[in-house]
Order: sequence, then structure tokens, then C-alpha cells
Amino acid sequence: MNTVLSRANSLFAFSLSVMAALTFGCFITTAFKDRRVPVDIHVSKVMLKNVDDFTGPRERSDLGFITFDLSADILPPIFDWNVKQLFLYLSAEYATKSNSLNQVVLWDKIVLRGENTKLNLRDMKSKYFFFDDGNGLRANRNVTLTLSWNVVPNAGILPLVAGSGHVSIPFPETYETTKSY
Amino acid sequence: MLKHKHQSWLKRRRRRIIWQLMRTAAVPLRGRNRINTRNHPQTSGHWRPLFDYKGQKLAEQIFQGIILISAGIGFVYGLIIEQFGWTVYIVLAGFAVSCVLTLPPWPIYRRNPLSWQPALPESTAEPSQKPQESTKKKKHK
Repeated sequence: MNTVLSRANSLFAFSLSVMAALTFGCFITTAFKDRRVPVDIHVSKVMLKNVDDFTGPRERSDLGFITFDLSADILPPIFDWNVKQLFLYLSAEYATKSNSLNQVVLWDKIVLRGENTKLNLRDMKSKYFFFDDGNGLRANRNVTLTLSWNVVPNAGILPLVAGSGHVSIPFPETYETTKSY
Repeated sequence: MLKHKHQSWLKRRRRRIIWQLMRTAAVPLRGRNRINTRNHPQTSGHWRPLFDYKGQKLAEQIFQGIILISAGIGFVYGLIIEQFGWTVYIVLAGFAVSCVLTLPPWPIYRRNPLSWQPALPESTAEPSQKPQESTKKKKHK
């Protein structure tokens, strides 16, 4: 501690330790919060096609098209000083003859802290293709859509939370065929 | 103008140090025993390291106290306004303040320097043949 450099070293190391302790304190104040929020999903249109699938082992697979409405107010319990952003995603879950559980992500969104947090989306189309592994979507009674999110914190664990609203829709029995004139 | 003021301040400081050392010296310091203040830690060589443990302890207490206080204030403020960025800013401000207060060699950290033993001569010549020896050697004879 007798030279400037030695004092600077000591000061800097102490500041970093104090900063680490403060970050841990920030994590501890928000680690045990319940981050579930009621979510309202409504599906307006469902269409099914049987198309060429070049990514799977068979020639044709089912492709679903869903148009949905989404509304949720996610501000109060979720955003606090330890949240940097939220990663929301809408996933469809169903069972078929060949697979007992299928989960497909249809749409996602990143909500940064400070942005508008009242979600009110109408007539949204899915971002990603709803391909089935086979032909199990036709006449499927129960396809459940759920909105979940990943909380990205400033410090600590990243909790994965399932939203408390989900909707089950049946898929049509027939494929949509393109009209030929 | 400023340099003149600094020189006269240095002169006053040297006189004060000489006076203090004369009062506490073991032998009377007169004539050839006059005190050399050119290398005294409180009048020159501020940036050279000075071994003053009490001063360094004071410096360490000061910066630890400032950083802990700014950390406490920052944590509470960030918790209230729900933004961790402000906590970091307040701690950085405390870091800057304690940099200014403890990094440069202020005089308060140089008040109690260690008094070193005199250096032993390398040659074996007798002291009487060297009338220009420093006063410290004569003190310890």
C-alpha cells in the first residue's frame, strides 16, 4: 500500500468484490418470485394441408396453419429490477399414433424491459411452420396451445414459466385442397 | 508567482521540520550537525514510496468506508426505483471519489514515516578522516 499502483490495485479489487456482493443481493431479492400471469389465447382459424416434406423420412407430412389472438398483461408480477427481457413463445402440444408427445413452437417474441407490456395481438399468423412428424394432425381432437416465457435476468437463474392460459382446438378432418379452375 | 509561493511554502515547511527534529534530537544539532531536509519525506519526493504504515492504514480505511457507504446507498436506491443500473452508477461514483481521496500521495498519509537506521559505510576508513559525514551517523556513534 505504499505506492500508488499498490493502492490502486487494492481499491479496484475491493470495488469488484463489493459489486459482486451487490449483484448477488439483487439476485436474492427476486429469486423466489412467482412469475405466472393469466394469459388469454383465442384461435380464429385452423387450416390443414398435406404437403411435400423434404426434411423428414416420408414424402408428405401434415402442415397446419393457425391464426390466433393473444392478450395478456404481463407487467406487474414479472418485470422488476432483475429482469432484462422476456422471451415469449407459443407452443402447440398434442399426441399422435406414432408419437405420444409432440411439442411445436409456433411463434415467439422478445419483450425488453421498458417496452409496452400489455400484449394485445389480433389475427397473428404463426412464425414457424407447423409440420407434423407424419400425418397425425388430421382429425386430431386435442391440440393445446400454450404461451410460456423465459425470464432473462440481470443476475442469477433463468426461470422457465408456463402461462396459465391455454386453449385446445381440434383439427379438421380433411385437407385443404387448392382449387383448380 | 505560483512557483515563488511554492518555494516560500517549502522553506517554511523545512524550517518547521528542522525545528521539530532539533527539539527531539538526541544530541545537539548545531553547525556541522545541521539537518538535511532535501531528502526528508515531507518536503520532497512525494511520488516516491514512503513507508508510513499508519498513513496507509488510514488510506485503506477511507476507501473501504467510502465504497461500502456508496454500495449501501446504491443498493437501497436501486431497490426503490427498480433499476439495477443506478446501483452500479452510485458504486462507480464512490469508486471515483475514493480514487481521488486515496490514490495521490496526500500529506496526511505521510505524517508518520518510519525512521530507518543509517546506512553502513562500505569502506573501512575512520570517521575522523571524513568530516562531511551526515549527522545521523554521528548521532549513533
